[in-house]
Amino acid sequence: MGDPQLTVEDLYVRFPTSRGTVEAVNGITFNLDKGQMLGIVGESGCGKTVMMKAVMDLLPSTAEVTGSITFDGEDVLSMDKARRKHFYGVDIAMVFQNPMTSLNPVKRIGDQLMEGMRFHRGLSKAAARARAIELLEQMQIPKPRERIRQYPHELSGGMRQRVVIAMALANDPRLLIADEPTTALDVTVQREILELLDELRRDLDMAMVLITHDLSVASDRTDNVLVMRNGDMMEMVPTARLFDDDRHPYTLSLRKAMPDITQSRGTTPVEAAPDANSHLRDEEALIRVEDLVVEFGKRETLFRAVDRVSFDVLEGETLGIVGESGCGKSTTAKSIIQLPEPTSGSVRYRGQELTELNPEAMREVRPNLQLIFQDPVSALNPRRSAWDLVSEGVEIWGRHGAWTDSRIHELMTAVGIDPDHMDRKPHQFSGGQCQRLVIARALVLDPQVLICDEPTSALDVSVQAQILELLEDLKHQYQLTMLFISHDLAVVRNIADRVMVMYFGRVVEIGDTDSIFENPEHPYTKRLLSAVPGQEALGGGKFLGSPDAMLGEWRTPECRCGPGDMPVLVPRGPDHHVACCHVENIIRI
Amino acid sequence: MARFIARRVVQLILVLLAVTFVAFGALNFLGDPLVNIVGPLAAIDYCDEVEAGLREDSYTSINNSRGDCEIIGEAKADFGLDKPVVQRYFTWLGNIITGDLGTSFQTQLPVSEIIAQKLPKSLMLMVMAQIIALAVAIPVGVYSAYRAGRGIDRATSVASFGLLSIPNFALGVIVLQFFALRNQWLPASFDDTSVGTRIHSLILPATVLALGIAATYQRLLRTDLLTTLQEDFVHMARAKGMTDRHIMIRHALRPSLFSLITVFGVSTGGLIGGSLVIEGIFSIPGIGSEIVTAVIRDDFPVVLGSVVVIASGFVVINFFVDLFYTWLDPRVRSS
Repeated sequence: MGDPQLTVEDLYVRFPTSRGTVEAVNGITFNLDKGQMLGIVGESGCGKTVMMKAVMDLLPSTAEVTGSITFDGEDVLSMDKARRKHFYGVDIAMVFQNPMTSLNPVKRIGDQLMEGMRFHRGLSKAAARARAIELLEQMQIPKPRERIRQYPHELSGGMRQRVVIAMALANDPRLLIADEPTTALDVTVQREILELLDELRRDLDMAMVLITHDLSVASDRTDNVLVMRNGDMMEMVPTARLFDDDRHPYTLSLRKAMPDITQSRGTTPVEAAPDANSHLRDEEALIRVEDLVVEFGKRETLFRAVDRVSFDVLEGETLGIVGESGCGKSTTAKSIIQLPEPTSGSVRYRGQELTELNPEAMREVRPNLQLIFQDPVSALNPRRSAWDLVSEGVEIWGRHGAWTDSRIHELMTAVGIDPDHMDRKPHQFSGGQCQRLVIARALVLDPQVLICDEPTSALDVSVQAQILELLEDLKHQYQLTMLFISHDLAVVRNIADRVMVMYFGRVVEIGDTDSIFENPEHPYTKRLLSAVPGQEALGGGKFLGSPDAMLGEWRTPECRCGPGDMPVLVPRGPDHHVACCHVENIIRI
Repeated sequence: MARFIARRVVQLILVLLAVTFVAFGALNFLGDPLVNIVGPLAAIDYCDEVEAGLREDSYTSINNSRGDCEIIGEAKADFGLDKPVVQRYFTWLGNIITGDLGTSFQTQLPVSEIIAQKLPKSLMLMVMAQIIALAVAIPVGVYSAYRAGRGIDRATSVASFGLLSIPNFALGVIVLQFFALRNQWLPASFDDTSVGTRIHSLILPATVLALGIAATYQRLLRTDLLTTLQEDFVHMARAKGMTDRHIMIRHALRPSLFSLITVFGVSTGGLIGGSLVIEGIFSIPGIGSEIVTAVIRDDFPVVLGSVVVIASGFVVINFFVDLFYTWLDPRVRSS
């Protein structure tokens, strides 16, 4: 036992509601030593955030908190008003999940950084300003003097989270609570932020609590891990022993639900004819996209979201589209169904050119190409029952004859919704069940193709695993072709036959899943793969520099693209193509 | 920013053109201006028949030396009514731009003079009403959001809905009775002697006008604040150990002002001309009562002139409201 920074004993948090008391945290006890990092892991709703909010006194006044919280020998819950005034934000600080919303959009970054220092430490404006600049420098934010004059919306997500961390560290806290600090960020940025936090913790000799739903994030950097479920503590273990076999069954199930990037699904059911000249394989492909361009805005605000993208999808195949947010992966997939309409290029479905169809003819095609949304809760009309939501498509298409009620029942059973719950409204279902409804709603139209736009990124890991399994089953049962968009490479590896990696609106690498994951060629693909969490134990690659350095540069040793050069996809294997500018170099190799 | 303003100015001009054209057209097609000048003879085909030789021009009018039809013709030419409507519209528009709003059919006074005399009183009433409304609504709104669900919040909710459901005229009469007639704390009617007396005598009517809008503002601000208080950045500010007062005023208030400001712009337009009931109760010779009189008497130039002034005021105020949005939210500036 070392020197405890934070001791929580027998902590209970209850919320009295009109329907009875909700017990959010049930008698949790743990110890966090000075300078150590504790991971608190569990699915959403397990009480991990509520518990730390109780420590931070951020719970609504209706919450009943009992037990004891001791910070460096001081009893937090019975702290007097004068001490409390300069306790939070000074001795103990917190970083929240979403950097997009945790900064006040109408206040300059500098003002937000300075207010805490000025209030707690009585610094003059000039002194606070100097410290703010220093803090931003410490967070590795370029040009801090200009940044403090900016508003949050002028910064990227990663930059904003750095600002939030700077804000939390402004008064040199002894304990930092980070609540899912990287969940809302891209995988490469995620790694940068986690590394930064780790570094700061060691430099400042500060204790830290890292709340996360992602076991792999916790396993990379913490000293101990506390596993929670439904407000109860399952176990607390040293991180080094997290992957032992004698763990608590719930920990094991969390581990099992982690998608494993090192494991291939082994099968490549579709045989593709190798084509030396093009990565497009079949003239008769189910979907064939050529030179697709999608632009938004006009004149000075013109933004090319998708830049001359070509690919094809054969019947029965699953194509994974990966890349960071803003890379154009969703836009590419959605413009197949003309939402939005492509600016130029060709999209053929069963040989039919979709870009030339009039709206009425396109409407006839639509049932064949169905969309599964990222956020199932907002994709369902909250005022309609499950039955109405699913049967609506049948009514619209007047297919009542073939699709009888019993057929809908059968479909609901197939997606795992109890037919007795058909009159429930979406809010009575969990997130995972809502996604099942969205899938049933798509399948009711007898589609050929499912376009899944990050279908599991709004869901918990264990639910994610179930939904992926369901999609896989349904794919075989209904002979579906899938486009699977995700920023989560591990998920894609488990579900896709082929993978297309996108970066700034372009395809940088495309090929069969195993080739891409085992033998990535493009530096961006390599960087994406190396940034996946949970690899520390596996000796994962080192991070390759900031995204800014990648902008406009397409650099492989043999293939240098200068600004303005248009890379083409060149073959590197039977079904493996990589973007390159100077093809003559590559052929020489 | 310059481009933003330029675009709004163009929009402003287009709105004014549309409003004046509709008003001008409506007044010309729904009633014949000539009838109001020379009487009902102008409305029937009398003159056409005289010209066609079907009947003799009679000499019943004021001046026996000229026929009725002759007089009608002269009036037509005098008031420019012999020209087509569109041409008259543009002539009228040109005059407006040079500051000439025409002459009242009834009083023969220049319309600009009438407006200059009546408008400041209404304007003063409106400005006072808005100041009172904001001064009441913002602190009450902030406090009721801070104490949401508690006794004080419930009490202000009841008071707000009460004020919203009492019509202006009823509230006006009650206030007049109690504060001016029974207790004589404040004057019952407008006193034009000096700026001081004007403000003093407008306190009661402005308060009556203000209470209704203040209730609306308070409800909107409270709702927006409650939404803002759920935001992460508010939790962040609390985690930084900021005081509740600091959080309410420095963090939450500004992002919560949007609905209030929008309704402020809209209600201002309504207030300029729409306070005629209050003007009536408190005997304020403002533009509201002037318009009602002019409409009843078909005094087109006065009606049109007032419409132009009120519409311009409305558009200009909303222009400033839009500018205010950009101050409120830097994200509007860059988009």
